[in-house]
Amino acid sequence: MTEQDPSTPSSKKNIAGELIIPVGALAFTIYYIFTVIESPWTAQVNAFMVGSILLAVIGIFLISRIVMLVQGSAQFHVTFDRLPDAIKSRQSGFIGLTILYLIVIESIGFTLTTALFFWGSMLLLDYGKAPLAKLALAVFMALVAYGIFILGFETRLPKGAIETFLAGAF
Amino acid sequence: MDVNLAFFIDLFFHIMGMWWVIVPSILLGLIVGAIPGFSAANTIIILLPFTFMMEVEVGLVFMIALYCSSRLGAGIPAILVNIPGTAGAAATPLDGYPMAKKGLGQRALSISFVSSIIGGVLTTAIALVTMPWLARVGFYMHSVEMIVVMLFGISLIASVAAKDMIKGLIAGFFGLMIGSIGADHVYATPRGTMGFLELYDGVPLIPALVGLFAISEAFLVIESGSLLSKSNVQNVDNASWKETIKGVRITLKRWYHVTWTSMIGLIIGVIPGAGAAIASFVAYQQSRTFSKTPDAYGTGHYEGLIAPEAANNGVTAGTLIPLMVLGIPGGATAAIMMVVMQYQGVPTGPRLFVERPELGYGVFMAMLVTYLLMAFTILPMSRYMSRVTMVSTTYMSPIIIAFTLVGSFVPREYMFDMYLAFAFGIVGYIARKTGYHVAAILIGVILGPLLEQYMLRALKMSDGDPMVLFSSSLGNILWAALVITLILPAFFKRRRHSKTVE
Repeated sequence: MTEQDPSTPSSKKNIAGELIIPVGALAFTIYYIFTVIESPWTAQVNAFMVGSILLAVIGIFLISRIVMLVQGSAQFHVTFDRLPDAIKSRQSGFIGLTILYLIVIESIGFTLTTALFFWGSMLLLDYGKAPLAKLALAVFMALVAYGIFILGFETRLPKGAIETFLAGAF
Repeated sequence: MDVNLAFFIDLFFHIMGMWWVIVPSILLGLIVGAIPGFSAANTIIILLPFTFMMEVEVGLVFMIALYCSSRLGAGIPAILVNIPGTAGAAATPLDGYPMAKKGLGQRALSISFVSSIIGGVLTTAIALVTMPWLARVGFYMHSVEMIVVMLFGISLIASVAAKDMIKGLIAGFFGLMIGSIGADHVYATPRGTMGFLELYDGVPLIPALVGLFAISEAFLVIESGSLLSKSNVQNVDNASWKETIKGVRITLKRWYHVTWTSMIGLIIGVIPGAGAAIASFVAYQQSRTFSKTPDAYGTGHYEGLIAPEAANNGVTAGTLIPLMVLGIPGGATAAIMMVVMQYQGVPTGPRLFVERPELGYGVFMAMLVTYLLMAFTILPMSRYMSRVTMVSTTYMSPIIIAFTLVGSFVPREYMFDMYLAFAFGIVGYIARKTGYHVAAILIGVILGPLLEQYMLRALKMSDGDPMVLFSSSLGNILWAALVITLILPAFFKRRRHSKTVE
């Protein structure tokens, strides 16, 4: 492997990122095979047929990347220098809000959570500009979603105080 | 039910009677097609709750109209601002944008619309007429042949659609492994469920496709902040209607060119996983190869705009043929249609044409009617459609997330499915950022349980002898084609490399 100063920008392809999916696939395949190892053969067909092809393809991929590293046409470089910036980025904030949306929706209901999610996301993505206008838009869009999904299509989305109040009103 | 001329005429007027679904869907399709990175597939996913509530026939007509019109809408920002609305329009700006820069944007739009509509009508009519013969193909496909066709589909996506074949294969087979999650059909042994009871029936398809396509897209578009730069916004503002009629005349005069490039689209569309992007580039390349003025390509040449637009609309009919005839989706939108059809209890493959011929043929008739209606609606209205590219990601991303999460909840009404969609969103985001094809993963997830089913059937019939996979002549031909598909790209790559070195 070529030694590289992390501070020096390099034109070489960094293969660290593209290893995430193969490593995840490898781990999952091993886990899957482990779950069927004592099962009847009918349960093992896909694990051994598809799993073995996948493992073979991952093997070829890893060999090709090792060859690239040896030839010096690629580099393997993992840096955490940018991690604080990445964590502070709007994208991470938006992913965080999405996780929060999934956690909170069961407790306080679909409409209120959706309104808060819309408002929070729009403020985050637009650097906090025009909070009142965005609040009005978020509430409007959440009410439209309530009208379509809960009233219109009678989807059994999580209900909270707003749904109870609106059910009484309509 | 007899399938004859009277049947088709009756079907045509029946579908025409659904104009109230088709016309709004055309308008919606034009808007979503014009938004970069926002495809018909994503829109159908977002609107899945609506589709599930509709009657299956109305739902299919809605999806078809949206699919065809979004393909056409994708050309608008490609021409006006050099930003293809979808990958299928990636070859459109090569000559469309130079025309726009010359002040001929409106003429370019007109050429794009007319060639798209003619290409779409022509290929749909051919698909419709040849369907009785194509439908018979399905009856020759038994367990062994179906196994090879499925592996063939995955391999084609890997070799054609993905930039790196090995990465495409990893994505496809990873999808097949994910699709194998759930209890086995004979002894109900849980496999790869990670302890979640909700996965015992297998991986639900809707959270998978919602996550891989829409949620990952919502996370991606934030990175750019805005879809258009300031100068591009100005270009959209300055669009005018001046030379529409001239564009129509130019295209009609080149009817032969429209015809053969749309045929390229139809043929490529039938190949699972190939898609509009490949078809439009192949058509552009072929058009240039056989042109008397190849040097004019790339400078705002009419044929250079007609070829990709006719081809990518020719793909729309082709993509649905494997789904309808074999029950194997040929692309992302076809995969979503299959999910909706399965949800509604409608069979796909040869059974569809026996049990519900009005639906099997109706899909293609809906496509034909959509293209005909588009001719009357799009020319006067499309001018304003490109303005949707100016919608900020500030509003777009939260809407995509909230609506798609609801879409993943609706079919089973499990909160688990929302979490699952989010997890697939993260996988899709990482896959896109690192060059893996999400369509390959999705098609793997869809084909996983089917592959297992056919594999078990074949092995049971042969008392567990794996050599049964090589026992059929048609199957062996397909195996050979599969091997060639995998070897040829590597061979050509090596040859190009050695030529460059020389």
